[in-house]
Amino acid sequence: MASTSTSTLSRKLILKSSDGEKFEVDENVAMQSQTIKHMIEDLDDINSPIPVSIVTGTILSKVIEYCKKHATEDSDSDEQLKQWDKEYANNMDLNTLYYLLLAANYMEIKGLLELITQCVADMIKGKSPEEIRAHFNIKNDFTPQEEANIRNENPWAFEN
Amino acid sequence: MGFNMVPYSRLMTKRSKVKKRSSTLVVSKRRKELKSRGENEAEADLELKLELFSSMIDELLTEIFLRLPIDSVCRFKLVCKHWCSLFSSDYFVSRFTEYNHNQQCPFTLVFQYSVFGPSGNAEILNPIGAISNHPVLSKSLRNRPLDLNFKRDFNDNFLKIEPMRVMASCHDLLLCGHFGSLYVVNLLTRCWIHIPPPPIRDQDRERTILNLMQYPKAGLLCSHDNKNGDGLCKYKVILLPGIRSDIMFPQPCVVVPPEIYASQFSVRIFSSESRQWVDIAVDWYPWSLNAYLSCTPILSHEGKLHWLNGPSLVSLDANANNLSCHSVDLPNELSIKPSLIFGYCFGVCQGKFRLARLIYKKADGGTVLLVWDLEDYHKGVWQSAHRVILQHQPSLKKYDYRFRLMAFHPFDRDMVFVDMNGVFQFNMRTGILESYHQLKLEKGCYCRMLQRPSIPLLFHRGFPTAVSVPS
Repeated sequence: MASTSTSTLSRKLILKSSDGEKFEVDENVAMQSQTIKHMIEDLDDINSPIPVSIVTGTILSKVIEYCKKHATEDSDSDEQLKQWDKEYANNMDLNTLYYLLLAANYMEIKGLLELITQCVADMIKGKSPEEIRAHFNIKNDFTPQEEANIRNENPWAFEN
Repeated sequence: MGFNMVPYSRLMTKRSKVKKRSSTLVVSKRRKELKSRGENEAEADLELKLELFSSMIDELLTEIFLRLPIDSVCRFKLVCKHWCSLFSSDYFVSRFTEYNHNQQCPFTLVFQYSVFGPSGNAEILNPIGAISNHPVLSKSLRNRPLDLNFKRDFNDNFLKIEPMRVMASCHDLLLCGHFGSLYVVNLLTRCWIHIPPPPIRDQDRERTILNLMQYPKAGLLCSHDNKNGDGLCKYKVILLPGIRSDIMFPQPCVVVPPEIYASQFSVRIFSSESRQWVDIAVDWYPWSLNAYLSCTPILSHEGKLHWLNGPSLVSLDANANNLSCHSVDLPNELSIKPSLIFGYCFGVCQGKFRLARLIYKKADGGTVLLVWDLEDYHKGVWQSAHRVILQHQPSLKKYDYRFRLMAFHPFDRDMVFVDMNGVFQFNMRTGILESYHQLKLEKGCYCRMLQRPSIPLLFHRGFPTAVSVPS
């Protein structure tokens, strides 16, 4: 374990976003993404930029920010890292969260995916169905009768 | 920020056809798509913004929905048909249950208490209280005695003569008793089911009146994944032979019923499948049954019932064909003597059995709280977890270093719930005492928790257990 991490530490990779922005990152930072990890295994020339084609530069920079923080394992305690994660996620608006979620999913970064899904869940959990529809622009396609049936299944969930 | 990405909807339709059930992560062979996809960037898609979540692939939505509390899940079925079908799918239900299994779940502490007036006379007897950190239950319970008057035809006088008794719990179900009848209740959904009293046997006849007044020892077993065809959960109620108070405190002229000292005793089991009571003999071991007393509850844990009997912890597997008991010796320090039946607390913390006792130790100059964990059930290895000399705790000075144990925190090894005219949380490591729940009392009144028959905990893990169809 230790030997691989020292050998990879010095290597740099270049990630290229969908809008052509390039980011130079340490290999151990980029390796948090399973997708990239598997890609560089097949790569002959690690100096050529790696395309992360559905992620924009703005989002990729945020992803890299997360990966950098989580690549340096020993510097922070679990508690501090959790706090950092919390602030990181709280600073995002819904739009950014959405694209981050897609990026984390696409790049296979487990920790980030968990962080963002939890954050979205926390944002929406207290809302009423009407608020959710308004929030996400979802059309109500139930008939009043169907709606009443669902309410009657779990009346306790609709009391405030 | 530009939305110059590959329209996701296309990816989605493709992927949702392949019903992939990968573990926690949703991604698959996308790395292969990576290079080929780059060219389509220009197809910027403004609709994307509008469709945000409605267009997100189902698996990603599932990842978010897994992390919602159960009330939100039930409520969000109403958002649209698509969400409703996601929530109702077997895939989601099993993932949700699995996800919640590994999380600390909300729990509810159910207790029964008496309120005493300034003169010291009991004014209100045996209301039932409950404290919950469940998002929905906590709201409906706030500062109110629990309303267990689910039978509409109960009139108040009936409940005044003999109040509803809290007896035991299993998962999120509570077992209550009233005049020999039993009720299995889900406090959250407010669904309940009535269980008729067991038939009176010859040996009970003389003691019927006494039996009504005393609290039978009862346990509840139910299983989440073991359901009847109608989606309701299967359960069993188990009654242990009742022990009369005159056995606990022997009077010279009282004849001890024979089963108390027999090497076999019979339990009465009611199962939801047969809807009938059956008496089944249980092989017993030399310890007399009398010491199981009424000082500790019958706990349901990992599909078995467990209680304390004299020097041992006894477990009964009510699902086995031949009922027999397994026993584990208690640590010497905690062995129960019939003369000293108070000050015990028996429960489960972080999945392990935990037993505590308050005992006066001259050497320590006061009362000591001893807490032991059963580290290895099969080998019977106990380990001391806490040893707290109450007189050394400044936080307890105000209360004259006195409290009564109620229950262990199920997840926090340092916390214990105690009764001091209200429910408090005591940290056995730091000595910090915090109010957990204050009952609303008239001025000058005080309350006292009933330690018997038990102070059960309910666990709200995943979907609420269905005992009956909502009325």
